[in-house]
Amino acid sequence: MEELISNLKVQLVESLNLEDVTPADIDTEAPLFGDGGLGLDSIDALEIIILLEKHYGLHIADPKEGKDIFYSVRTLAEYITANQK
Amino acid sequence: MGSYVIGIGVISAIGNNVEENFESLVSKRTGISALTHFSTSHDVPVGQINLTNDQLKEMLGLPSGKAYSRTALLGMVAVKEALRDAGVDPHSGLRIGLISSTSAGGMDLSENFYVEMKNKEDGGRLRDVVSHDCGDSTEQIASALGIHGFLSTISTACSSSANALMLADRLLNHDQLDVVVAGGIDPLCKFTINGFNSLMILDKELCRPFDSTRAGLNLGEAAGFLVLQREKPKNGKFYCRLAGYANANDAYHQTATSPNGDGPFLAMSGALKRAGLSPEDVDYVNVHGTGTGNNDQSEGMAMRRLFGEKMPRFSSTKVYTGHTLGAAGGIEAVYSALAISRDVIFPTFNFKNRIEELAMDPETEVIPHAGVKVVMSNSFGFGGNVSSLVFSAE
Amino acid sequence: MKCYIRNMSAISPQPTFATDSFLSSAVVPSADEKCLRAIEPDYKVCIKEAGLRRRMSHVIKMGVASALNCVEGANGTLPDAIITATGLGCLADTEKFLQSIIENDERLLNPTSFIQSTFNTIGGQVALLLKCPCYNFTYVHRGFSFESALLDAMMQLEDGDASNVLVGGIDEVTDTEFRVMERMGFWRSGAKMGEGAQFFLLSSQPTSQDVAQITSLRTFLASTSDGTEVQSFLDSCGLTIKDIDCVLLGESGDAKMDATLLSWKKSLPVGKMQATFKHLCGEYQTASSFGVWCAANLLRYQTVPDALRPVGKAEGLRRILVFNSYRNNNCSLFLLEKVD
Repeated sequence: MEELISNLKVQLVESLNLEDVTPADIDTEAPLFGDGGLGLDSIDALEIIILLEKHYGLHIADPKEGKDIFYSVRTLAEYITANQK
Repeated sequence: MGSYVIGIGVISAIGNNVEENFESLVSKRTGISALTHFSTSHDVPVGQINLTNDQLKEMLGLPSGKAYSRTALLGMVAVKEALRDAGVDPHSGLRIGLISSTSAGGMDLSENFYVEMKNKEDGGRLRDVVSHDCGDSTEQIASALGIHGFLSTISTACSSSANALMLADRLLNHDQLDVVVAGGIDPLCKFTINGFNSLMILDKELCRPFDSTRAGLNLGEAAGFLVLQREKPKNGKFYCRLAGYANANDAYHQTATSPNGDGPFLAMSGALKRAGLSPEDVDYVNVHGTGTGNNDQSEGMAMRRLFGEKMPRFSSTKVYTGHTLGAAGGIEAVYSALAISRDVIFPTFNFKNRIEELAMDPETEVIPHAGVKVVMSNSFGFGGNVSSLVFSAE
Repeated sequence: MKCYIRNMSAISPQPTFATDSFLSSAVVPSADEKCLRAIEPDYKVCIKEAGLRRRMSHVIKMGVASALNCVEGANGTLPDAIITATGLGCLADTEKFLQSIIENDERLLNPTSFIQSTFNTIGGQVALLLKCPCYNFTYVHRGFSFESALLDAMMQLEDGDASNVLVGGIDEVTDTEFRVMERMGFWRSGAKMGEGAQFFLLSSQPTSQDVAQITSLRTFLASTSDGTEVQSFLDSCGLTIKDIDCVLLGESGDAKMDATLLSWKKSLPVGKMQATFKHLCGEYQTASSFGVWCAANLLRYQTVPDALRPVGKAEGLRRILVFNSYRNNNCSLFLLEKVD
């Protein structure tokens, strides 16, 4: 799990062009979207869907499904662990 | 104030001219079907015009050997029809201008060029890339039809051609031109299909505007143009007046419109204000109504704020044509002109399930003798661009 | 129809951004340089919102930074209309998305480059950053793009629909575009490719700090030109060529591409002061915005820098005529006057 979490952080920084943010800056438990976290938006949600499919072979058909899954790096990692074959 | 619409022209998935479009609209006949003009790996229905580029060239009497973007060809068909309908002769000495708009420009040809150039450094035919920019189609149309006045092209995503009509009216007010042909064009191409697919907002079925089960839009291709002049025609022949308009920016997010429809509200109320009309005067709204979750929610909220409990009749004609992007404002302005001049409302015939939060239902049947004197036409786009036009009978 | 330039900003291949000097340290590119890239400021300083900046491509950053700088320098006067002009828009993002369609065979495409490829991206981002829900247009017509934007702005100001309008011309160089145009025969006969972002905050009412005023403009196609356009333009302004102190020419350096402009230039009275600007910014669809920026500065500083290659003499600089031509197709004329 910890390895997955640190990989995810690197992938997020890369694919979302998070300037001025290093993987270490990302709080595993903090909300990714909205205020108080990384401040990601709906375009980022689409990018994360691509990221999940490219790196983990997981397909999310409806961005709305992603809402709970994308809450934090922790929830993302849990989803990947639970669904990856 | 407000210039007169003296001619209209349109080509879309539901017809190659105004009469064919009208027939489809009042027969509840959609143009949404499978894509056949080119191959794509996405299985989505589209509003395709069933004429190849060669057939379009033949129709227009153009040399078959010369390369024209589909954008230019579709535009020529609609502009030619609009000029003829208006009885305007480009060689009459009038100062005639053309304001076109497009979101894809000549991408239908240049996307092929890029494939070949990617394979080989000097690959690809240059004639496929010279028409890439948006101004190309405008100049091709002007040159083919002998329009020698002011030329310009606007690109504000899905609100482009509504904005072309605004500029047209302003140019006429300032006596920069005697007659303006204004509207917009967009062809189907791989670029936009893949783009909208990457946004996950393409419905695999017929789109369902303002329906609680809506799941996205269908893309379409079209060209729609209107001929405008400042003075009331002496022969009394005109469709309607462009009575008011407003353009605003939602300034909320790059792609999403604000949930309360702040920008759309500004555009709609601004257009009415310019027309000197109040919300109760509106008989019919041709909504942007793409069928995406975000658009219809935001547009509906703005309409609720503007019209309150007195919601006028409204419908989205995108169930016929698909969302034709840069052409949408143009063809829907043509449909608005027809709604007034023939006194009829065109339905969103497949609407079934109300969005409870909005509690507003589009018309599902053709309504003849509907008493249509004032029509509002909405066009919203990426980048927060929102535009509303108001047409009136007098 | 006239307007006042309250402030302006330029990011160009010359040191023109956030400086009080006017081309005094400009470097005239050598004949071998075929492609002029903009000198870019530190965008982290110019565009503070990291959340939006992180997605911005080169052309968006250029445009947004120039626009924000223009507004900030006008004591924060917010525009009530934002009008941008671009020939090819966000070309690098367009190419990037096309590339990914081809490489990934239409699968798993990142939406960001598509979203940012639309021509109105810069105008939209400026509205978002300035929180301006006002009129927002983008003109995309080759060498008439900036001209259309300026005409629209001047009409709005005259109508009283806006009091302050932000107008800008932006285009970028990409390697692919350079190569494609080279294959078409460009950049071989003296013309250089260029890029830049020039923004102007225009007002209907004068203030004590105005740079200059723009009093008229006109566009015409070279293909339909009968050679009388400049004359009739000046007639419509109630002027003759004698009233023009300096003619600023947008010559690309390629005689074929400048044919209409050069043929008019021959008719100029002997000794009439002339200068050129495109050797400094390069050729692109909205390069005329750099020309207007230069003309306004000529009126502000009342001196013609050597970098503009002046020929002839002027008594003083009160009126400047800018004649731009893009690929011997789109021609435009601008009249700028000194503010009193």
